[in-house]
Amino acid sequence: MATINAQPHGEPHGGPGHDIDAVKRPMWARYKHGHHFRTQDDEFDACKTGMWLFLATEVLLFAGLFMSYTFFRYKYPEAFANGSNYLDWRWGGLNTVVLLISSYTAAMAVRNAQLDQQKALQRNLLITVVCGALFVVIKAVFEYGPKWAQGKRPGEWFSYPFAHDAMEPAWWSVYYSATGIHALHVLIGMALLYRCYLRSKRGAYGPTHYTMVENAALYWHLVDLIWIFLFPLLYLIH
Amino acid sequence: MAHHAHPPANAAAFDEVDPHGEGFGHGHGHHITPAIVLQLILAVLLFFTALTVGLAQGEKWISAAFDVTLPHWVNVVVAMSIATIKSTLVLLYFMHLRHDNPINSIIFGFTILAFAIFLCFTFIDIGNRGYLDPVKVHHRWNGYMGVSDDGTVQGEAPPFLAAVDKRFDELKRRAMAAGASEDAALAQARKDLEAEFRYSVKGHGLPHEDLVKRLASKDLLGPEVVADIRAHAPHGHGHGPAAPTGTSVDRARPKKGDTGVLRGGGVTTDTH
Repeated sequence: MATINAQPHGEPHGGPGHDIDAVKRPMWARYKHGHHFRTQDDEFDACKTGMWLFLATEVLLFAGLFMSYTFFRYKYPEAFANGSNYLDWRWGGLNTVVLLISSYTAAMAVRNAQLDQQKALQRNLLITVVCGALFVVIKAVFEYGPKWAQGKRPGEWFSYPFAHDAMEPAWWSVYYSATGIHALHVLIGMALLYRCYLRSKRGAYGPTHYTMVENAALYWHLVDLIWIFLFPLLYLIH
Repeated sequence: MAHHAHPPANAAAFDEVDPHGEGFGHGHGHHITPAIVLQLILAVLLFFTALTVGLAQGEKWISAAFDVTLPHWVNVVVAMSIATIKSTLVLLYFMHLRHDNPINSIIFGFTILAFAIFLCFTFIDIGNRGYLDPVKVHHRWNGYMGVSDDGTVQGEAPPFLAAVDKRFDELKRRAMAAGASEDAALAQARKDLEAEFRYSVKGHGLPHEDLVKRLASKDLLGPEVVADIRAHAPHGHGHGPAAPTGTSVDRARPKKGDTGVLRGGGVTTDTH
């Protein structure tokens, strides 16, 4: 009979005569890393670096949007200063606070997974998703909704009769495309984290296997990073 | 029994459950950020958010209260510096770059470098249009020549101007759908448009001059109504005195004698 000299922490001991394989270890402890990696850690590091490469492409996606903002602001500074006055910085500020708090809970969730704090992990993942939902609801109901109804729309669809500057449709194009694509990323991040939440309830994540939580949290932090730049550029210029 | 090419360092009994001898438990070498550090970073981030909002509002207040216009770049530099500090904190601590394999930081650093190259080259281009090739100088909205004093649009109306008539038609359609006759709907639409105009002026000040002239035309609000609104209009948002050259649409209109001469030698035209 094979000598069993390795047991995961915190698992119920079998007692004399019990074969360890009859006692079910939690799902995360039973995870077997891919055989093409030397160790679990190698797999984790590789997955994380892969995620960073993907985040690099996301940053460059938003770089295109920031470039369009910079270009149009350079060409039509009055339109942008005027356009910024239409936005309420209080809603933008509230959304910033919501995202910062959700970033904190996402980082805490990774910590919880590292320390096998399952209940806290589930709670923090859920709070992060709820904060994301709050962000999208605030944006849609209090910002997009009234503006669209008043005719403050991008480009061709612009029908607000009391514009302050001739190039206001361009301002709205930049506003809607930048915040819209960002909101899409918030939704994607929410979906990833919600999947993590569901799996965490089955004990899929623990100290030796929490790669998915780590990567989903990285994606969420990137979403927060983008908003940290979008908020002052759109709401606080004058 | 099959052997690995590299037998485990401790030549203890071969463990079928754990052949690579890695043991289970806490991941090796994974730095775990203390909770207090995460909470501290959150507090600092919230502080910087309040600071950036406060400074932006403060600038507005200063220019309104002391009637001094700060140079435009101050607002941008301050806001972007604070944003950079916030994002660095998120990257280092929330995203764990501080205690991570350096390759991840290198990847991110290279991304920022790529973005910087993108910005620089684009601005070298658009900042220097018009020096070498006068043929490529265009005017926006070639057909638009402004709004005359009685409110008629000269030439083809650009989108921001067409919005007025669009909105008026929308209001008229809404009134007719509610069952009014043609004339009653027209009167109702005029009343609604006037109410919307007053509301907008109250919140944001007078809109663009061409729009005000168009609204003052006889088939929209009429000159007396608009004159009344103009008289009671607040000063606007106080973001400094209006640029002496007017707004972008004025620069777009071709001026007499403008043949698209080289920059520095003639009238400033808007390059494509």
